[in-house]
Amino acid sequence: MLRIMLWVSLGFLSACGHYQNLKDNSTRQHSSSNNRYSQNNIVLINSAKKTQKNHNAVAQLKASQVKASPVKVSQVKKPIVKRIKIRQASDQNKSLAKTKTAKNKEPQSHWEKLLNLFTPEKVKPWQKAILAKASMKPGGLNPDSEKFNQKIYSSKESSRGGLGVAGGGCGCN
Amino acid sequence: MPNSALSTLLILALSLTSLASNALENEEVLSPELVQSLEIDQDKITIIDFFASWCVSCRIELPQIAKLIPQLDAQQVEVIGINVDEEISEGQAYIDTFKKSGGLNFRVFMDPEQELIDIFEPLGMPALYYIQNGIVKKMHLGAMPNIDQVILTDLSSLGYLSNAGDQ
Repeated sequence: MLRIMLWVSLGFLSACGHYQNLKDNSTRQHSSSNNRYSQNNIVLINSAKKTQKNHNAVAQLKASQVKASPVKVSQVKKPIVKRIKIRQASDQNKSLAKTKTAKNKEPQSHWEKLLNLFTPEKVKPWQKAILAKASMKPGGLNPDSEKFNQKIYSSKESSRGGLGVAGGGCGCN
Repeated sequence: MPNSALSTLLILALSLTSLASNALENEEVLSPELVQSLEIDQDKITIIDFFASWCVSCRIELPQIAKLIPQLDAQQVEVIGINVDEEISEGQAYIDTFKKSGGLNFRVFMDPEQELIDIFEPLGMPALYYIQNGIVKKMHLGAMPNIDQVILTDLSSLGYLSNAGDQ
């Protein structure tokens, strides 16, 4: 019995580790750009950590900003977004973090600290981008697998349809 | 069953229990820094909508919100979108897909580090927050059918005067 439970717990922990690896892969290769940048009505929140893809995207945003033709002042009725002053990321992170720290005043008990050791990091609703990918479906990317599942479902339940809802993992109602 | 097995089972069960959340709730105050960062106008009702490219419900709701905005009085209401895609290029491409239907006609913040949404901690996506005087007045978490009508109803309950824009 103990051996079975050990295997189950090990499997669970390895699954958590696998997800963490996927997450880490998507957030490595950081650049050192700490600026906010705006283009049209899109504002990029400052970010100390950016992936290589993000770095390229920021470069494109900046390039398009430079190429943009100047607009006469008289033509501007009300800009959707003002050009935002560049601020140091560290300052802003500190200020934004104040909201969180104010809510975390209660010190953790020893029992809670012990629990935290065994508690896997929960995937929050806004972190489910990877889980929402088609490759994360039980059948994976193989269309035959989905077809097979639908065949089994329709033969077992005597009904079909209702399987085409996309976008799993976002925590939607 | 031996005691060690029982204790292991207990630890496993407790490890799966959820801990208290720090999510922003109704009537909670946004920090002045956050208000300043998002450039929230205190005189207006600000609607903050969190969305992502992988959220299918967001794809349905965003055009409805964009369509609603011209009908609203800009002196009273402002809509802010926050894209929480970890890759900016994905978020940018997602926003560009709305160009066919007129584009997103409100300010959009790209939050690849998910700092902003980490403050709000919504329990589902898309997440819609109503901010008035720096206070969270209302929220909708998860998909909502006919979000434009829902917003109009919510705004009227928050004191929005629908005829003020016509005067």
